[in-house]
Amino acid sequence: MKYIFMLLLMGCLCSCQPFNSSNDIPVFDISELKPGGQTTLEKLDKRTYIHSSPNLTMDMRMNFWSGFSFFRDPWVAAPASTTDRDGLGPLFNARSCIACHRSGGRGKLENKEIFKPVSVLFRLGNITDVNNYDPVYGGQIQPKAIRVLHDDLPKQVQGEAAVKLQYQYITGLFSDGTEYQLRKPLYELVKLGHNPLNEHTKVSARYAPAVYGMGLLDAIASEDLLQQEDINDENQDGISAKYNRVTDVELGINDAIGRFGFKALQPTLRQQVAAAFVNDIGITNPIFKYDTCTKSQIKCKVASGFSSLKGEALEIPEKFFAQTEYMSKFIAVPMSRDLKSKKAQKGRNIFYQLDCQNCHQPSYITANDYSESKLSGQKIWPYTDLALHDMGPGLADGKVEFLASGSEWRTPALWGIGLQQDIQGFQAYLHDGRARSIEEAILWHGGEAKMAQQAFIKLDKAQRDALIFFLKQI
Amino acid sequence: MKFSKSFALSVVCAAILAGCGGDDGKNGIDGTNGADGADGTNGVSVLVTSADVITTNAQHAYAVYSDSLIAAKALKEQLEVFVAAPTDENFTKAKEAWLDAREPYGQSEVYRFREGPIDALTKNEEGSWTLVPDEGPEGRINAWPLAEALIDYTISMGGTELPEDATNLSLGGNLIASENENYAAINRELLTKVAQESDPETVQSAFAFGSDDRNVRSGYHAIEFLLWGQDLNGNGKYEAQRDYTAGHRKASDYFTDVGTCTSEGIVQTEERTCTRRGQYLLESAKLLVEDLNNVTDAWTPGQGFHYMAFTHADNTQSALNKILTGMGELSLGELSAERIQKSYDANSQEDEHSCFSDNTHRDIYLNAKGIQNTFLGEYTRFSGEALAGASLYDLLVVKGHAELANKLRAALEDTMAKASVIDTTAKLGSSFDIQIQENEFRPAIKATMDALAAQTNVIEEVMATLEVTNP
Repeated sequence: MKYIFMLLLMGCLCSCQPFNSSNDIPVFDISELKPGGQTTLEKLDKRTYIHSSPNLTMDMRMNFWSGFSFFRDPWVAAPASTTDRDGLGPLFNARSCIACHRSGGRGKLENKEIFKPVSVLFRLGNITDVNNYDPVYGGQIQPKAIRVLHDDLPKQVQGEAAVKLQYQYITGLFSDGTEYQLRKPLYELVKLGHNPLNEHTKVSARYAPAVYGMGLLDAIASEDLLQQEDINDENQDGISAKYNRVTDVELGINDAIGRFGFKALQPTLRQQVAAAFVNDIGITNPIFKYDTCTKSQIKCKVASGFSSLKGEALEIPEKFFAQTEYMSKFIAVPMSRDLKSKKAQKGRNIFYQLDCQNCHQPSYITANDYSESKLSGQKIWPYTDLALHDMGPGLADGKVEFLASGSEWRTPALWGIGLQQDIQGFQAYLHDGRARSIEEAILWHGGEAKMAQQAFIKLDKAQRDALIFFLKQI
Repeated sequence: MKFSKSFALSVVCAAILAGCGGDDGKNGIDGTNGADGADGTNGVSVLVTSADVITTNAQHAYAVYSDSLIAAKALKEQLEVFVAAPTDENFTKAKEAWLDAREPYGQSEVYRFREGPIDALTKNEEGSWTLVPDEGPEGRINAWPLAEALIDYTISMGGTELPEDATNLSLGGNLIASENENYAAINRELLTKVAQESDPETVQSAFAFGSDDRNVRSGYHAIEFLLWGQDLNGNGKYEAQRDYTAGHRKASDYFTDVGTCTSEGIVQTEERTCTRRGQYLLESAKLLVEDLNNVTDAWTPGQGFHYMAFTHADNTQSALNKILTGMGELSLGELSAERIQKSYDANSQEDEHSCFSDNTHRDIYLNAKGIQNTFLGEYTRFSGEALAGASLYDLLVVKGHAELANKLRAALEDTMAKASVIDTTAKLGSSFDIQIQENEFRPAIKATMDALAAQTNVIEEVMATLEVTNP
């Protein structure tokens, strides 16, 4: 192993020096074939990511599928002739979880110029102050509204906006002379339901992420994450891993480690699911008990009053919320594909030589004391440190979320991304889905990842292909 | 279509004779009878092959969908009679036709969850049939919970738990009573429309975008709702303690003479509403027949495009995988978890399958029966004709896994015994929505869920044994 590594190292020193020579490439570990440990789905399904972890008992699997129905079934406006599936809106992005997380993956992207987005949502914020949402529209644009007839409400609640999308195309060259093209989405909110946005409001597009393996990320011990923290880059590798410190609503603390969301806004999977319910579907739940109408959205508030609280009635009570959370925890990570092949192993070497692992931290053993024993003590390979990194101006959205600055993003997990093409029928990566291939996604890396990106540009085609091949197998 | 009964018999003989000498059947009727015949390969019959099992499965798919189609056509005819002459007698006949139509369809659901025509049949850009995951007609045929409040009048069933009052608030009016010009015509489009950007806000709100974001308003359950109405108690109210009655819709909801049309139990001045209700009913039936027709065509032996692909010699492993995947997915995720456990846990009427007609006991029984049918290579047609062919049971025996074959057979029989309790209890007057709330009946429901889970374990064992987990 050492010998091979030396050869490779010499090879690149002589030619192009694209690689950082300071790191060892870890020996291939058989556990890499099962990136979710014992929870890994050991069959290939090119139709959907949604399978329960195979190490669950039959009772657990039944709970999983019961929870899945809350993920899949569309919510309707209250009151329908239902007791447990109404409460949609008043404002919402989608009627069901699966509308955006199609097949448990990322949603469908729109090709139209003006549309009411489903899979891409738009967060509103401010460059300086985390609590400073848009005074009229709140923290998120909800393009749709329920239709309500009521004496107290002579006019209908309006969806907040539609979106106009144009792309700006950017071209560049690899060192070997090959041209590449990137596209940058330029979003504009149109058909606004109220006055224009506040002049300081920043609009940040967020493309629904895939939802498998979330329970395992939830199960990583906080200490194991914090051990990787290096806010001031004291190890001088050019990478400053910073963990977001966020509010844990149920614990009532403000310094919980953020792990979920594109800027690690949510500390736990439970709170992430709850936030999605209230913000995206307009479903009040045990953690977020009120609809998200702002003070100036009077019709929204009136409509919310029709279906909202008297006593403890939530639109999704704890019992069903817990089932949905349970299901979200146990969506199995797919097994690796052709990882042992020569090409994948070559790509794997390049991954480490480019220092990708400094942020895309490959592996953890999940906490032994995690609340779900089937997820605890698992050797997993998610390829993320769940930390915030400055990704440069090209990706910056200008929106602050607690400690996350306008150009910082949380490292996303990489496991299973190679199945996107098969399961979704197309590829789209990064926080707003702008990258049409893994290659484009890498090329967008800037800021702290600029060095790795530059090294990628210097690779020849075979090396680039090998790296991407590897990423598609993990 | 030919169903070879004698063939199936010879399979059984071969299985019994295996290992003790006798004709292995490879020479057909020219072989020597009984103990005088030559042994098969290593004394084990090679008669039933994977291909035989797959062919049987495909032929029975055609049979069960044909039956569903025939019954749906009969339902459609009965509905036409009823709408033309809405007498109590015709109303009863229409409801009976609906219940009859559910019998074959319930047994067909084992053909779901395997990327078959029911889940994936659609037309490509050139206008020819193809399979695209999740683009199939199932959502139009059998989806629920129904968005019934969007179709016709309802009262809030949440009245006891939530503060809404339906008399103050409605979901933008329902489609049948609506005078909105966007919903003027009751046609296929109204039942299946997916909203477009160009549509007015109200239309977008009603119909939403994309199949994952839909309001269900077509299929068996739309027809069921239009025949039975909401399953309220006998006093016309929704109460926490349910009674044994199904929905109480009156035939007069379809009266079109001046001053006779009812909604919510009272005469409305507008006959238009009753006319439109009848149109909605007939349009739903028309769409149902159309969709079932397409699915049946795709399975036509010898020519249906899916039949040909499914039975193709190159696809043996994947076809076996599909058969067993459908059995497993229906057993656990769909039937046990979503269709039973959810309403059992939540005491939720809304989550029972056929909530308007109180026919959920049949859904449960027939779904389970379909799984057993598939394993045994059997299906009893609507006409009473019993079909039998090469089965997974036979295949396991031939491949030397007689013990596993019996294990799964026993597991399926156990489930049928348990599901029969739910079925019989309902037939004796305590419908499924009563059973989930009475302690007396709940253990039988739990036992059915457990039996379904147990059979799923064995189905997965069979997949591993036949090496078709990952085709």
